[in-house]
Amino acid sequence: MSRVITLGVDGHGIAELCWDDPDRKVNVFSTDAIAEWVALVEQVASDPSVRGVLITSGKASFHAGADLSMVSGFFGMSTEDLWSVMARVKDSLYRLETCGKPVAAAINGHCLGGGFEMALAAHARFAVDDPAIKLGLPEAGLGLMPGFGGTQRLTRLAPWQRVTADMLQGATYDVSQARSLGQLTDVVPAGALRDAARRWLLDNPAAEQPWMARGYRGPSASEIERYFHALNAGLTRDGMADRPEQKLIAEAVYHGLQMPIEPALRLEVRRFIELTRNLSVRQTLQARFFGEAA
Amino acid sequence: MQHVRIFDAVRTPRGKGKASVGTLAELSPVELATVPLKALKERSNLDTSAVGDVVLGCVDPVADQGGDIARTAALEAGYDEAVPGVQINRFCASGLEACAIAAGKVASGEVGLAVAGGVEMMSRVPMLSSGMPVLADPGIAIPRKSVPQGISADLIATLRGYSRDDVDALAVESQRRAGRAWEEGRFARSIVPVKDRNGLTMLDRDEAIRPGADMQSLGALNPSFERYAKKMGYDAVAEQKYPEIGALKYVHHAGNSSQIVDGAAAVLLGSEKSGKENNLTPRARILGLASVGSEPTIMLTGPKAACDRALKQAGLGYADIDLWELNEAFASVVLYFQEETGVSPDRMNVNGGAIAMGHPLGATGAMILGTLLDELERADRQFGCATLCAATGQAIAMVIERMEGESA
Repeated sequence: MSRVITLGVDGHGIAELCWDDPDRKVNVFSTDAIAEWVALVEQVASDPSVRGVLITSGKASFHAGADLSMVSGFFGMSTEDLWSVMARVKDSLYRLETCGKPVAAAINGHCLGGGFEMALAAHARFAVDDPAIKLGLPEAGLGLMPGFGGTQRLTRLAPWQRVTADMLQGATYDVSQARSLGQLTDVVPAGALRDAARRWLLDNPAAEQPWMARGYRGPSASEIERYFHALNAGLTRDGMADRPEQKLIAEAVYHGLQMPIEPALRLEVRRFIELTRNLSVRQTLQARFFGEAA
Repeated sequence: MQHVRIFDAVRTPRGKGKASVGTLAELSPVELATVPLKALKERSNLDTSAVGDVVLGCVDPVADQGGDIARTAALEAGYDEAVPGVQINRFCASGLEACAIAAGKVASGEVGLAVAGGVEMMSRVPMLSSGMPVLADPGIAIPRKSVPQGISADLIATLRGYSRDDVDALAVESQRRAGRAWEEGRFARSIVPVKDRNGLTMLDRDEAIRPGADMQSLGALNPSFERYAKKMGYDAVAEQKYPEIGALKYVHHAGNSSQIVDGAAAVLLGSEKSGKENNLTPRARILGLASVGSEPTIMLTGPKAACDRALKQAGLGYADIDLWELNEAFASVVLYFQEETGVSPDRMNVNGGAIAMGHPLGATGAMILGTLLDELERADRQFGCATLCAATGQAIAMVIERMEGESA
């Protein structure tokens, strides 16, 4: 049944979700992959014999995020249909991080966009010690914004002002930057990746996201206000009017950080959909990536 | 003083006021406040440059509810930039106080048309976020024998001997009436569904309502204020102020107190002349309005004094009023008012109240004014009175007369 993602469960109850799309050079969230992903997440979350979940890649890279031709198609979809696609991904990632089982991502290569957002929904991220690997949320560089929870999870995991600034520019990280910004649990030699992630799963049966933990406090309202006063003026000065994705990313972070993760994730999807209702964003994307006349 | 006209009244459905479960919680307070403002504009095809002021109640005007949310919301609702806005606070009376202030501006001739109402996103800005020196400042709280309002509600019940069954029965009836009102579409004229910016509907019904609540389900709930009162010493403070009660009894709980919710409402008011100039059909006229202070420890007993004054202005008596809206802050507030005035429960809160649907602090006053207006029209009645108690011993009342079918 599954073609893109294969599921295997070992003798310790560790389920491995291995992304390896036979039709592509890199793993992406295509329409088919989303359907497989949603079903497999539910399967590992609800199967009592599964005690932990390991996300891996069979490619040289880990995951390249959303399939751009699928994203291009979002612009022509009805708002209701797009909400339903985005909500399925949102719900599956939330299901995974709240299923009561530890989840780890074994990042063997580039981990970008929706792939990075998938990894952020894991409780631990292990990456290979390779300076060529890029991680992060480059969407804004394409005129897009994260829509699989990245604006909310990354700002709760890492120093929020720094990663907000990076997200607004679509800046990515190498492994050592990502680690120093608290995005990676550990960096290990290539041959040790799987074992490190598996070991962590077995040692942390009660993993939960830091932002779901009792006593978690996000940034204070005054801290958020101070940062955004300057950010808003700066973005306006720098021509934000031509970059709708920057305003929408900034809004998602500003409001999202003031509420729990669940409504914040819905809020991000609404801003993402809003971006896809913008004709000029669609034209830019199509001209840039598909060579279609604007 | 000329009789100010009410041309329209709208409200959002009320969403649960807890961020983890409330459907409206992902909105900002400004976005929520724009919903009724836009609806007033669109429904009346209103040239907003004719609006002289936007007055909005908001009880905790800090963070994203701060910075004069009335002006911000007017701008974001697409009102002409020449329309100013002012945020006001008289605690739970704020939404109706905003209407009273706007009516005063119309009556004085300062403005021809005004928009008034309120907003409260209790999920984003929790109650008491803007401070409460009457409870916090020792120089005020100690000599005044201040207690929080839940204790005041239990104090009223203790003083008047209202039993747990008395207050629970009122709550069950509120739920039943609100459920029936929704089923029969009685709020249809006022409700503006909340949509996101993409046009997807987020909420089109009051979210906290539980029409199936009965004496048994409410009976299972623990009193909300007993442990707190005893731990803090508020029980003794209340007993010192009212020694005749003996010991405070605790009858209020989450099921017979107003629910914490998010919501916004707005009302379009103006003079007869401005109404004609803007092709607006008046739905009601304001005959009387009053705000009063009352004893601040028991806090919630002021509505009768406010109604006495508003009725006197209107030249009417209690028996003349066909329909009443008294905010269900707590069940004992309603029982006390009915006992003091002889107003029949059959004419009061006939479509339920804040116990069933919730009390978005700054907005409720404008919401119940709209509910009253709708019901006067639906039931073909003439006179109505809306009234609310408010913190630190205050209350407001407004008497209106229906005008549907009349020319201005």
